[in-house]
Amino acid sequence: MRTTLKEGKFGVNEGVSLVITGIITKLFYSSASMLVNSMGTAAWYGTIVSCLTTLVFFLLTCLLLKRFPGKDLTEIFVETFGGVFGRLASLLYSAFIVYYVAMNLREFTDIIKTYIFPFTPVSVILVSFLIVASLLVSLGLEVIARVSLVYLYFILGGFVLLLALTSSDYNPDLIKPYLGYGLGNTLRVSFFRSSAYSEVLAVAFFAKSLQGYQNVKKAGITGLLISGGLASVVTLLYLMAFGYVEGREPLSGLFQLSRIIYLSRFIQRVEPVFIFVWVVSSVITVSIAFYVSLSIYCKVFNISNHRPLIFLFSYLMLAVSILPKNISEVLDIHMIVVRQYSFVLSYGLIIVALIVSLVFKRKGGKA
Amino acid sequence: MSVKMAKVLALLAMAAVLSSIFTGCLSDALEVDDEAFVLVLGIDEAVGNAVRVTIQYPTYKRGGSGSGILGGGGGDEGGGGVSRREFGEVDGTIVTTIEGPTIVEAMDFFNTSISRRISLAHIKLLVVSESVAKQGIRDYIDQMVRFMETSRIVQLVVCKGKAEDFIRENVTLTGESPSKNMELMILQSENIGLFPRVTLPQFERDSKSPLRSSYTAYAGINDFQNLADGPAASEKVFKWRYFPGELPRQGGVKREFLGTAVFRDYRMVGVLDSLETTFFLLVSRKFQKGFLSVEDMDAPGHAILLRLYYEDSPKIGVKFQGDKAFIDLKLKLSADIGAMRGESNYERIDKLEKLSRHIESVIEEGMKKMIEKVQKEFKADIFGFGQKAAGNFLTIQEWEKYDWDSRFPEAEINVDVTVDVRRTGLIFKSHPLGINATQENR
Amino acid sequence: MKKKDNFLAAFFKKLAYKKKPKAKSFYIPEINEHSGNAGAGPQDPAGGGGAKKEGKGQGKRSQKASGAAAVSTDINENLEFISQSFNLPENADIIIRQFTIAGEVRAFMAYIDGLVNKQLVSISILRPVLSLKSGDFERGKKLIDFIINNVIEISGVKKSANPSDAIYGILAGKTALYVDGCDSYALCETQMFEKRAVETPRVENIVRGPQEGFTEDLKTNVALLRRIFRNKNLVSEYLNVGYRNNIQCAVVYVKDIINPAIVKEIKRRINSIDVDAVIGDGVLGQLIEDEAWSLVPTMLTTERPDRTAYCIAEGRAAIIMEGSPFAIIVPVTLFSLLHSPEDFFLKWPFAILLRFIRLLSLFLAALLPALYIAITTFHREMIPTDLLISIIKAKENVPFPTVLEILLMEVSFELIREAGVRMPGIVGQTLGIIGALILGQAAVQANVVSPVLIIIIAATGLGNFAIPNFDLAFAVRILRFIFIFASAVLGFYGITLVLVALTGAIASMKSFGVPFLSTAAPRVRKSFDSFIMWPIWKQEMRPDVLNPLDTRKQAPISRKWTKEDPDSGYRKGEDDA
Repeated sequence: MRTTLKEGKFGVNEGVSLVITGIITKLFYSSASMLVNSMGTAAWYGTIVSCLTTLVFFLLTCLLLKRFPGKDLTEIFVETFGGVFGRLASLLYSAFIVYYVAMNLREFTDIIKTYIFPFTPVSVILVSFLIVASLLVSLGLEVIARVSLVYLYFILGGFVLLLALTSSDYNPDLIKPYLGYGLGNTLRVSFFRSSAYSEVLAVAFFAKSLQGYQNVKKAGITGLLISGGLASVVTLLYLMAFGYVEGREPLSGLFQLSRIIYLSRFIQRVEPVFIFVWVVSSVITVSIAFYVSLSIYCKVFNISNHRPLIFLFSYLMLAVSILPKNISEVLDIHMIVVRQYSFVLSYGLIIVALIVSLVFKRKGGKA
Repeated sequence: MSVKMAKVLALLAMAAVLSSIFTGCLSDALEVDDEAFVLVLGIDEAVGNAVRVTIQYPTYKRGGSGSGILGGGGGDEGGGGVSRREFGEVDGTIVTTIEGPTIVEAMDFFNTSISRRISLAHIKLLVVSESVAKQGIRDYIDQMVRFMETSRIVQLVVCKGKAEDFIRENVTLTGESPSKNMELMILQSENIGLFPRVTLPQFERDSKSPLRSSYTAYAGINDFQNLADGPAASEKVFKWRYFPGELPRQGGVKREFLGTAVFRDYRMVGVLDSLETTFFLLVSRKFQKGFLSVEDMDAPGHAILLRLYYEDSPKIGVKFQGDKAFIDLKLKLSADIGAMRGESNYERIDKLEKLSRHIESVIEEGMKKMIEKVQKEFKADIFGFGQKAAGNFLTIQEWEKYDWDSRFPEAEINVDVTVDVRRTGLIFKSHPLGINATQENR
Repeated sequence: MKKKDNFLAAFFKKLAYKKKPKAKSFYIPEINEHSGNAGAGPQDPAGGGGAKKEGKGQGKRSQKASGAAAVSTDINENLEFISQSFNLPENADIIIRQFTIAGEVRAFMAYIDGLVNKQLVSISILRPVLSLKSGDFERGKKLIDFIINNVIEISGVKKSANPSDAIYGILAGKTALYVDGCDSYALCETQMFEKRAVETPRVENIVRGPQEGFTEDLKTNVALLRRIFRNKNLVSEYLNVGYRNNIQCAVVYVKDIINPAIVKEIKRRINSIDVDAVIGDGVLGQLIEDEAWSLVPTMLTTERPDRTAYCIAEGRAAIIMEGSPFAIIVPVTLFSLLHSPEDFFLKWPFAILLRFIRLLSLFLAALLPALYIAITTFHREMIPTDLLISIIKAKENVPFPTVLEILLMEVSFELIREAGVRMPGIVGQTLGIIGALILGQAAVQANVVSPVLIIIIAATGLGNFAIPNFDLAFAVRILRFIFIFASAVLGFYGITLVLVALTGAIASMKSFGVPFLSTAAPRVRKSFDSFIMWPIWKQEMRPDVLNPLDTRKQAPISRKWTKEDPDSGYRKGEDDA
């Protein structure tokens, strides 16, 4: 495939930070309470199971990448499925990511509006957010990767700070009974929840920028393990602070956690500080996904400059994001699709591609 | 590159221009002085509507309260003091009451007469009257919790009598800042151990949790009638048990915090008095500082003052035999003697041991009675035994099927208190008065 | 009759109203540009005199490629050439001294009054040449070589067969000597300008460390560098910029350290500049900067030889310009802008403390007013209640919204600052303090601003002054207003969005090929002196991003004595009695 989109290069560190930021941002949203809702007190190790499941899928992806050295996923699809179907497959990803970004945007705005700006028009929140995300996307992949690396420290620091400041509220007894709603339930739900880690695929689409499948593998696995561990710790402490009954209630679990910070008479109610971390990681996640979808689109149609498309894509995302009627629809239908069932698409195609390439012995030469 | 920066600059400039245009439209922006921040909110039973809400908010007058409000320091009669009192002005704050369908709506009702937007973002204290608490306060708590603006760091207090009266007596006598006074007042819980400090999130968590029941501080108004006149009692009477409003005292602020209100499913089911509260706080590892005296076993009519510490966190073990729960509570305390009758010379090793056993028995007995009261009478697990019991179940389904709340009253509770007196204060050798006094225990 | 007429006329003139003749006001007539290029000035006759200027007019910068090809052997032609070139007789500064050697050979020398040491010219050139006897020499083309080799008593003499070189030499303060019959000039180094002595730096003051700064003289500056960096590989390449002002700038680097591509790129950029007058490093900097649109400077300007030496030893290049007491250092990263030359002279823990203070100052200067607005107008729950109530009490009588208060104070602060710079000497400093104090106090008393704001603005101002880099401080001053607007609209959310956009913009910038945020993003080999400065002996490697020829600064064990036994030593625990 003749691709002329110049994406620049970045290293494993940036790759890891892309993966981590992409995955853990959802913890700031409804993810923590959704986890507790579906798995009860088992949520904290359930998410590790999801992480490990994703790891297996990701290793399969790496296997596919290894068979086509020097190629990224879009090109591999064309190699395995042929010109038309390969492009269709890539387009499917692109479309799904548009949907993913839109739903994330919607969730983010709804939560911001609920928790911080009840009277600010949604359009202002959404548009200002999209402007900044579009700016990052227009600056290119390299810049997004660098920005994510710079802010990764702040995001992780924000997590640590939040969890440390609420430490007086932890009660280890609240994670009892240990098995949640039963092992079967935990395994089933956490297998489906592995979709919540599918952001790791971003590095597979940027295999070229990462310079080789070894780096993709390294970045993906490190990112997955770190974010899995982090998600587990956060969920564990969240459970210890709220218990499995109250823990399933809040719209945004971690924000609720930040609202109960009381360190002393002087240091209390510092939750607006966490807006910073929260918005930063959301902007970066949205720009990553935005860029992935745009870049796939450009590669499919051999477009060399992605900038003219940014406005169209952001308009599309804006349009999709205002489709759901209410917050319940967002959380109970779309978020379930995005975070529980989407892996069928995201890994299904890859596995099919792998099988096809194995069966028909298709293999990419040295590029 | 230059194009990129030009874009950035253009965007920023656009943002700046837009900002000046839209600042008015975005009504989330409010100047600080456009809002009146409620410090205390009271909930009473309403007569003509669903809920009667009382709020207390600062007047924002310069120079604090004392000088300006009470007529230039001249007391209630001075200046416009009396008439201002009619408007509900209480020491740098205003107290007003209104009835409304819901708490948050009542704030809108308030704004029909208050010139600043009423904000709940800095509320310090939520006072619920006992009668409301007994009917259940889930709706009110939900209003407070679901409403984004409400501060979650609110101390919850149940007050004997009407919350409205309680708040009207919430004057600021020390210092000038009503908010500081409120915050520090609640923090006294840590210094004396006579009432618990419970914030709204904590109360909510305990109430919703299937593992335990909730409790909160109990308060009331002391109308200074208990300090009876008349001849002094011929024999000394030690009394540790008080409910709010019963303390024999005169002067100062009339409201007082004392004791614990016990809840089950958001419904108040009973009250613990001051001594029971101390024991309760001891069991639930909330006791921080505070004295406790016991009557001298050798010399009735004299008290031994003790300062209590935890030797170890309270150990709670729960075992099940069939469906019945057996709860073992092990409490290891150490104590320092704060004061005692000089002649008893408890510093001697053998006597110290005896004293320790005596204190142990007093505390253990009091604790057992308190636990029994809570378990059998109130049927509420405010100690968190259920949290330990849950460890015996594997899954949530099994635990919820067992239904701890209904089974808890049948559980058998063993209390084992160990107290060791470790230090005796600044005096190490005390002696009875008289000749050869020092010879006896040299 | 005529006389009578005059008398009558004078008489009537006295009686009658007389319109005063109006003086015509001057305007600049347009010049018809036939040739279309501005360089070939019409005031410049197209003759040999315009050699330099005409040459530049073609858009070519290099003067060697232009002008008359060879020096004439006839003294009259040469005299004509020089006087035309320098626009004699209008131009009074050029002095042409004609004389005759031993009564038989005509000669002249030309120099610019004020640029040369006249005594030197008289004693070391004129006197020996005039004292030549006939017979000492033979006429002809070789005569100039004879004079250069045997007569002139000046160390720096160069023979130049190119007339434009001669012109340029004279312009630079050399004395050109021409002897009839020769085909070249002797250019003697007789420069002596009035120049400032080496003084303490004015902008980059430090407590510990050398106290000398660059001056306006290029040679002095390079000498200052060479004095503390004595290395034969320290190369200073001189380039000319500005086709009208023909000024020199030096690119200084250490040849066996710096990546040659950097030098090549610097030279490429400077050589390509087609601007008539480049005066000072500020202009040059703007002309060769990567990010012309960026607020944040992508090069480092310093007036300290020690810092310049440190930077070129790291593998960077310094560009020093004649007439400017600053050196431009490229390539740099954002972190270098937060360094102060003092850091290297302090023990590393002190330096780390200073770096953190500077980071704080950056944070305060850029964000404090914006944060104040965000907190007071959007996130009031964050302020402790007591403080909130006292802020409200203080603001009770202030009629303006917080944003306006902030802007009011910010603008007055900027005014005071600008006025303070313009005010002469001591007055300026007092104005700063008094202006700030009185204005603030009065504003508070008049209920125009709330008292908390004075603290905010003062802290912001202090923060701004603590930023070590002047250009960066400027950028922050502007960014502050952007943040203020963002926070006025969307509070923390707005601030964060702008912050991310800004980070994106900075992350996309490059300084001579080096990503501006590097060592942080893109992540490269751990640098021991990016934000946190580790002990000097740990800074073994040069910055990775510079890709220097020699990556290692120190031996793996730079303090060899730590591994050796001293002559008189004992082991710890041993009885040292």
